[in-house]
Amino acid sequence: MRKKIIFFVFLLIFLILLFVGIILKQYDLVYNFGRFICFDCIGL
Amino acid sequence: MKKKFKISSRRIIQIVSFIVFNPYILLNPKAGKVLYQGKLKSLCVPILNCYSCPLAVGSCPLGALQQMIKISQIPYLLLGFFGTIGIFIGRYPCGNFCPFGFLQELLYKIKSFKFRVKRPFRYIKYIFLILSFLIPFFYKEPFFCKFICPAGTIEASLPQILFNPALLSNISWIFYLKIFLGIAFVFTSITTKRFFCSTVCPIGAIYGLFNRISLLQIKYDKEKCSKCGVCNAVCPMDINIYENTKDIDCIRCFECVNRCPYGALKVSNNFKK
Repeated sequence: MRKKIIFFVFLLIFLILLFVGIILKQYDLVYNFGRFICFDCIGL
Repeated sequence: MKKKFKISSRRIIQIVSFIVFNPYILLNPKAGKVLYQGKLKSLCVPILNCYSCPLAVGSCPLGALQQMIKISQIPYLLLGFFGTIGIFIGRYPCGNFCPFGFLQELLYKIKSFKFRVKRPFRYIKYIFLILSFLIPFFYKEPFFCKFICPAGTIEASLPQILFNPALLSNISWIFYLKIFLGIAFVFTSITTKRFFCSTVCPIGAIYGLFNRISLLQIKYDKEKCSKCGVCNAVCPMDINIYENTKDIDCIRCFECVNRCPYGALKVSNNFKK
């Protein structure tokens, strides 16, 4: 029972975080980071 | 007698994952010269896969997380993303989807002297994880992508320079540092089982935290085990699974489950007794 409670509490927390991110349209930020060459990533 | 060539289902999943996360060459023959800019880039892949790779159609979650912190945004989406995956399957994506992990496993097959990573060194990845949060926040630099990530060097830096030689004029010391680290990680992968995954990878560090409570688990039957060591020999992370089935470094590849001659290990869920 304890394992189930821990699991569902964490699941709820992370789903809330995920939905907050979706509501804030953070996927648009992800898109903006990913669509151009990241010069930091390639070391330039 | 000639040895029969056999490919495991996990290898097939690893190959398919590599193609699914990096199919741009199949969609656009000009891939390399141009980066994919479609809407799929708003989605993150669950593993380390540089979004500046000319073949990538998804975004790297660690890169996106650092860039978000850099611009002073709380990365709700990424924290929820990592947490939701981790709580269900723990480090399963590391063992089955990660192309860089796959590359390391192939490199380890090269015959050479072999080393083991001692337990304390396996916690170094948490220092890299903390730095991946703190440095973007305080210094506005995506620390891990910029100075360390060998996946970015192999998947993005080298192909980008190859396809766009004009970039050569902008090369700085950071590029040489990344090339040096990339080569160093390739060599360590030959001598040590998934060295980068066990000591450096911040994504593995995040998923590893969930191995204790994730739904997907490995169950160990003490009665059936003879401690023959087969599980350790086949483990791509070089851990003794019978000592702790919830080890932070268990990548849920289930090689031990499939190869245990006594059936002492099996795939289970965390709710079963």
